[in-house]
Amino acid sequence: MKRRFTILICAVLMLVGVRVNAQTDSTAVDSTKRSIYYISAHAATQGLGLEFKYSPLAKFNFRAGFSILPLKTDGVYSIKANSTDINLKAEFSNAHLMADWHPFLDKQNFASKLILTAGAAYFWQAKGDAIITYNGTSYYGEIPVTSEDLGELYGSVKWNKVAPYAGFGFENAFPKHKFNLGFALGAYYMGKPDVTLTGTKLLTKSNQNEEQLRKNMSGYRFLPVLQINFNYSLN
Amino acid sequence: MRTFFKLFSFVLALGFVFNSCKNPADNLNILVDADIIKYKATFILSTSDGTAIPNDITVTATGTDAGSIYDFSGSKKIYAPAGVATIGVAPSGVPKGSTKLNFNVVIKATGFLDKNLPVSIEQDQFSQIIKVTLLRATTPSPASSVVVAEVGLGTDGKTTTSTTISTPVTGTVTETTSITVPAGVQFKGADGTILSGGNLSAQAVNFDPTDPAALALFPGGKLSAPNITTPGGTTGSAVFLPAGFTDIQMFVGGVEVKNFTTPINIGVQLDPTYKPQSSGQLLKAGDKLAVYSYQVSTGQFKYEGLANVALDASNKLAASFTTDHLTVFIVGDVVSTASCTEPNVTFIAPWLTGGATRTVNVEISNNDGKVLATSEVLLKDGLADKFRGLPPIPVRYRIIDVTTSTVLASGSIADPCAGGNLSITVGQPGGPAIQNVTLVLNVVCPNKGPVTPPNFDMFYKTAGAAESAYVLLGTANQGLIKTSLLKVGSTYDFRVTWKNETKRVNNRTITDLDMSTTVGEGLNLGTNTASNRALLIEACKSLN
Repeated sequence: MKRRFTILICAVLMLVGVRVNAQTDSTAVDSTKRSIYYISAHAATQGLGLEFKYSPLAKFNFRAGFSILPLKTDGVYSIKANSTDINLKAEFSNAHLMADWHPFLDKQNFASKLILTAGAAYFWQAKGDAIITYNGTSYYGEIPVTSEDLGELYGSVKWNKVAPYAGFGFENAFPKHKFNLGFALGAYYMGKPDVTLTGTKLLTKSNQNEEQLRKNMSGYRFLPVLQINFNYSLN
Repeated sequence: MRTFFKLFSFVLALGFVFNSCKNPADNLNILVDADIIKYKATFILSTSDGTAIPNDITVTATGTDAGSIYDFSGSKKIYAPAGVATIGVAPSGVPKGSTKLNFNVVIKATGFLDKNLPVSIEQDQFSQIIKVTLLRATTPSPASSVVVAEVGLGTDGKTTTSTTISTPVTGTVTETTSITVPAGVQFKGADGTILSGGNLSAQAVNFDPTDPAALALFPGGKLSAPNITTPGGTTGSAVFLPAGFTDIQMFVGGVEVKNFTTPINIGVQLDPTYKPQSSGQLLKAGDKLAVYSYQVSTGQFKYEGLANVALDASNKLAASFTTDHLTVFIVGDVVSTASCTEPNVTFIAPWLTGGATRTVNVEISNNDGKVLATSEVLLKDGLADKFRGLPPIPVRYRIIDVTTSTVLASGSIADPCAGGNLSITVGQPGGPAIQNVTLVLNVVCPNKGPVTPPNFDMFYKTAGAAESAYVLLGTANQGLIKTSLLKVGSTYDFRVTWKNETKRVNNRTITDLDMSTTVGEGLNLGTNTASNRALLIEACKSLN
């Protein structure tokens, strides 16, 4: 397990091209120099955000912050013979409170950096919308039916606003520098999503698929979080 | 379309990849509604002599907007099974704003004269019923008399003597048409070459313009036309008020004659009750009336000249004129409708509850009682329509129940070219209490699920009655027909046409006011299961 985490961290570090030798090389713990307040920016699968971290004890941190994921894209996708326009919009925005615990802080190896995290978030936005249209021509017999005449499909998936979180990560409790990095991996439990599917014009009958889509999506209840923290010590 | 869902779901589920859940696209089917055609016109064919509809009917759309016209099944080829041709407008070509869709429908059948019908579709004119009577050129009808004659020709293809051919007086057609071909005339084909042959085959049809049935035999199928070339050379919409009309055809060696080397003489006896627009008085000798020609191949009416009205040898009023070509000739007034504004009409029939329909005839006549136009309408409460193609003269209208032939409403319009809004309250037919029966056809396509069927026309007759007894029951709108024409406890035969297929459901008793049913694989497929399954699968294939 340890080897796996190491590989994961190494891969992420290579990806972001950041030198972390100074942090990972920390072997001597000087608790008198420990920072208590941090401000942290993060980039994660749940979006970009900021956090304020309070570390009253070496083994415990408390974090409060927010994350915003505004994803909007228009794309033309060629699928087999049909070209498809898909307008996508995913919005995940939350305010969260987290508690971190360093269970192996007294160890003299990499395990000392392990943190276990629990918390919860309030998502004021937790939904995905898609507008799907044919980018081409369909046929009724020999009659060409343009995408405009065919209509559009509107799909929408919404999750609970309050979601608990559990995860783990790696962070140096006694960083030597003002700036340091941390990593987290976990998941929010979002609950069973609410799904709607609406067709217009000639696609109105496709509304009948809504219940099936709801069943298919009912298992999609966890929002995984892979996060990189850029911490700055305030004292 | 499943791929839409896959892609959609993939992106939505991007953050959920660790869930390893069910494929979001599992068991999803994109269903495309089949009521793609919103504008349609149904041509219901019959024959002038009451014989069966021929099987070799060809129907083609020509003209400016013909590119947007398809068979209602979606094919470019237009079918007419059981004498019913239903055309539809492609969604991309529907009329918008004040721009009308204009095209011609040409109908041909062996043994019958070709029909070339101008059709116009305007915005919100979603459905039209056009009744077409095919005229057999060699057989008389109550509204027409016929002469067929053979005239011997010289070796050079010339007539050897002056010959007169006349249509007969019949029990219902009291006026005649006479054609006099002088001696020495040669005959030309469409390419202008002199035709050779031992005989001239001539046939002429004389129509009784006072018989409402002759309206359906008038060139174009109605008295109004969008393309009449006037004496001034301009072409526009107008209405004919015919005092007489005739259709003359000749053949030499099996080739149709189009022109002559020397003009021939034509005499058309005229309606003695006719009142020219210029005088408003009964027609009399010494009057002049315009002569127009009509080319079936082009659907074009053209001013030919003025004809003198005089008493002929039979002491009847007739218009005499000469011509160097053969065609349909119309004698009478033509009234321009180019600047007309058609009146909006709303039909009030509260006894047709819940959107129920009933077939009625709308008949328009002038103040002398001569019928100027008839049209079959699927009446429903609140139906909005227009009185189209009427001249700017005072007219009367009657709403006649097709089933009972009773007049349900009547009234007058001082100027049907002056626009305005007209509300017509249509009375309830007498007899048994009105029952509004609902027929709903739900269709479940194999591997597609429930679909909305396209709108289609359904015909019915009393069970066991002759084929010719079929009349229009109504148009199924998204599978629904609600009609006042059926009675609970009565048994009927039903007929629906689709593409080149005719589907019949015979001897079906109406047991309930709601006769809804669902047709589909594993569901109700009727009595002829194999055939109906094949028809269902074929129809469902078009929904791609």
